[in-house]
Amino acid sequence: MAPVAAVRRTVRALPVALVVMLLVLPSLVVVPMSFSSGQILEFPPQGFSLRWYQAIASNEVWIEAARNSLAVALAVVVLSTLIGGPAGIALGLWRWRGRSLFLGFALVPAVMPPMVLALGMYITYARFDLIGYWGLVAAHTVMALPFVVLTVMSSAQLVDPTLLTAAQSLGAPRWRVLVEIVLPLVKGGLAAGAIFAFITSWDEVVVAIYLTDPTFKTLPVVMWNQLRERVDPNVAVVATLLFAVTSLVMAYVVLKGERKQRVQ
Amino acid sequence: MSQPRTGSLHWLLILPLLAVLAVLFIAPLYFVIERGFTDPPGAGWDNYQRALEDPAARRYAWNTIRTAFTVTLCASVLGYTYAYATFRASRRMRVFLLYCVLVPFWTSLLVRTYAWAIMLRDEGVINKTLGSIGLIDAPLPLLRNSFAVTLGMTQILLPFVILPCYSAMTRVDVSLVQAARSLGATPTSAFFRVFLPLTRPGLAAGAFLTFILATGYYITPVLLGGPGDQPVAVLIENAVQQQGDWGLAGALAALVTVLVLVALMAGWRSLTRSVLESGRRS
Amino acid sequence: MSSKSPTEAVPVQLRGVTKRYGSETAVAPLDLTVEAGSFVSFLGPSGSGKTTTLKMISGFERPDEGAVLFGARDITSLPPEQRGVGVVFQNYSLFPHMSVARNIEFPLRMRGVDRSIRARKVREALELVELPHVAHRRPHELSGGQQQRIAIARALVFDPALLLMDEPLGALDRRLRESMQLEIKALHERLDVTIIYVTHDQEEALAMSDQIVVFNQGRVEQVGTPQAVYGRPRTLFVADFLGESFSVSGQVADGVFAADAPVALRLDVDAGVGNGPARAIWRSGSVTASPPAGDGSWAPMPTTVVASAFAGDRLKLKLRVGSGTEGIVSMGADWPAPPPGDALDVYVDRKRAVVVGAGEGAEA
Ligand SMILES: Nc1ncnc2c1ncn2[C@@H]1O[C@H](COP(=O)(O)OP(=O)(O)OP(=O)(O)O)[C@@H](O)[C@H]1O
Ligand SMILES: [Mg+2]
Repeated sequence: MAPVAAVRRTVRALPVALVVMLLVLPSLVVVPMSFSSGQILEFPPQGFSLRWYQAIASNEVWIEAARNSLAVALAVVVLSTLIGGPAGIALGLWRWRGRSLFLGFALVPAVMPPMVLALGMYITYARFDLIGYWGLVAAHTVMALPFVVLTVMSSAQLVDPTLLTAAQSLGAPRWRVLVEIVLPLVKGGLAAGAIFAFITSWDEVVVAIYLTDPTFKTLPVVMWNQLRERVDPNVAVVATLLFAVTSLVMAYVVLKGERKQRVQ
Repeated sequence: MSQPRTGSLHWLLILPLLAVLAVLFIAPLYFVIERGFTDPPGAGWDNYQRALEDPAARRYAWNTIRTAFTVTLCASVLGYTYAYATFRASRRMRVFLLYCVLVPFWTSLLVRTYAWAIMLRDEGVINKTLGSIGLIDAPLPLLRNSFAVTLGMTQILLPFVILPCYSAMTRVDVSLVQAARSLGATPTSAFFRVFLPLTRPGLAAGAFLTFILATGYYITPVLLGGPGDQPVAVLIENAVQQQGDWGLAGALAALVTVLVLVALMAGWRSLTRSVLESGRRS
Repeated sequence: MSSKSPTEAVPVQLRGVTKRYGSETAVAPLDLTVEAGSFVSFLGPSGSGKTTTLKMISGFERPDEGAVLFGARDITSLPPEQRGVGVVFQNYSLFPHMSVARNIEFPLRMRGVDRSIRARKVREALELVELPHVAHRRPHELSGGQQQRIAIARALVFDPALLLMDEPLGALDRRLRESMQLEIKALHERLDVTIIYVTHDQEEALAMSDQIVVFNQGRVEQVGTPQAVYGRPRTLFVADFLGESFSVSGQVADGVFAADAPVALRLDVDAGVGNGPARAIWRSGSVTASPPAGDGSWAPMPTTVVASAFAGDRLKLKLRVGSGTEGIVSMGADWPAPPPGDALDVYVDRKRAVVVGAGEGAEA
């Protein structure tokens, strides 16, 4: 009896184990590849060395690209939370006519084929001389907005409406209710939206290919070019570094969220 | 729960977003579609006719839709199963499984895709392992075909199925399933008659989202697919980059946009339901 | 904030106030005056329009018709934040992201009160509700009763002339509810403030109020002191809603009530009850199984016991008169409870009978 149950349990766990592999494998194989001592990107890697890390540290192209990516992503975070946050609050807090239509409109940029966006933005932004840094910021803000709207909306939906009523009865005009009560209570949603916005911009390739030029390239664009030409472990090093940084940030966020939940 | 009246304050809050999307999103969409009608001057519907009659374009369209369907199917089945396992798992296991869903987001999409290419190629770790244990004589053709594309895209799109499914499951009133059991349903029929219908909106939302996103994919098919797997996005790019044919590109962009919007409207109910309820406490 | 309140309590007047939601009328044309400084309860079953009326006074709903007056001032279209009315909600509604002190300070900040005055007022308000030591805690670190006291302190700290409370004790357990009732009553006596208090607990309304307004289906059934609405209900609904009662049906003709057969009972009726079907009602104290000897006002009434329950100091009996009406009465518990089905002769006090019309609107 016992072995049968064990076999059944294993069979049942198999698909889940497969999906776990599927999800994490690509992220994990990158790490050992970055420590390769060989010339090309391969798995399993040849030998162990830090030579590609040294190469990156002294490679102007990568450093410059990382700096550009960071500058774009940070601007996108600021703009998309400033623009998407209020809209998310309006969607989550109140019911009004046209609410779900507006929600649909706000979410469409996230599902548009990037190639269509890229061409459209390329010809349009060029008219306004918006190629390069600000063009890319504009494009990525559009693509990040849906995530900010969604996350802020979800946390605004959790705000107890009687708190707003209470604040008003205590003498707060509408805009002060928003600033003093709603804003602090949707802070979590705003933060989550900001993280999504950052990742959206940081990781975006297709539009970036069109809106950048040889003097201004972002990290994914450089990687894309590399992957199509000579493939050395540089790419793996960059990916590993990014993986390490984002993992740490997310671990911090998750732990902080857990602690907060425990308090409440 | 009654929600407070808004007056017109909500307009003030959504106005910036409306303005930004109008200028930075709708205008580009308009201009690229406009090209389809005005390039070359006086083109009218010519570009559309070309796009619809060109056998190559049909092939690319078929590639796009076939891939999107396959990926949606794989991601739905795997994603729902995974979400269900997560839902039923112990607390610690659940945290682990949910964490695994988020891990892909930490790694650049480009790199994840390329990692598959490295593992799947003839000298890759999979073929080497199978060869060294004597299971195969010649390397299996794993890369540059539909299999690789499906694998890569499923990997990327799985979270979009898992998360809405899981969130729908946590909102199911478990006592309903127990009631079904107490009324004589077997675990299997309780699952199919009660649990699955109750969580279908989540699955539908995830599936629609996957399908819509999959139709726009570009990076994965280019890096992992063969000539028979290239999607419309590649055709559009070729039209622009190789032939400078903005008219055809505009017409194709319009067609893809329409496809996305139609799919979006078909899934609108389940998508908004899933989105608007996901935040609500049950 | 205690004795020298800057804003004096004002009377509140509702004139023909009406509220409809779609086709449903939540509040029918309603006229009501609440005296300055009094404690008035709105009492009624769920959905009878108490909250809606309260919202029209606080400004969160606009009446479809009619006017709301504070003193002589028509405030029908004044937004809530400018009415200066304190409101206490059933679920406390303390701001979770602010400390207790910040919560209480909130209305003062909204009014641009000076920082040093704010600190003093917060301290006084905390002392008023006897919780000076919790100033720096967060709301979730307080018990339900403490949270509600802080909510009251917050609603009072800006010296409102009017305090509205919508089932403020509904979420508390019974014992806590009773001690909070006394505290709120004591607060009212100490401060110069008009309180309108919504409840659907009749005992609470009877215990706390100067005046009770009984609501039913968006209308006011009766307004009066607790003694009046309890002892002299004007309608069958009020009689039923405010506690145990025992009644017989009959007919009024020319100022005389005649009970339906088989009860032989005739009562003189006040003017105001028209001819037609009617009921004679008695509260528990005026029904007994053993009348005091030599008091001629007690009339016998044959009943059948439907059910009985022991309630400590009393015995609760459900009795049926003839084939028709049933009623519940409490009696002294110094005799064994009769089994269901037994015949029981009780005596009712003629002088304390209340006769109400049993026509339209009295079906409850
Ligand atoms: N926002 C609303 N939309 C539609 N109908 C409403 C709304 N608010 C109240 N109603 C209706 O108006 C009527 C009166 O409701 P109200 O909340 O005033 O009752 P209440 O006396 O406070 O009841 P409770 O004791 O349950 O709180 C009810 O029939 C209710 O269904
Ligand atoms: Mg109410």
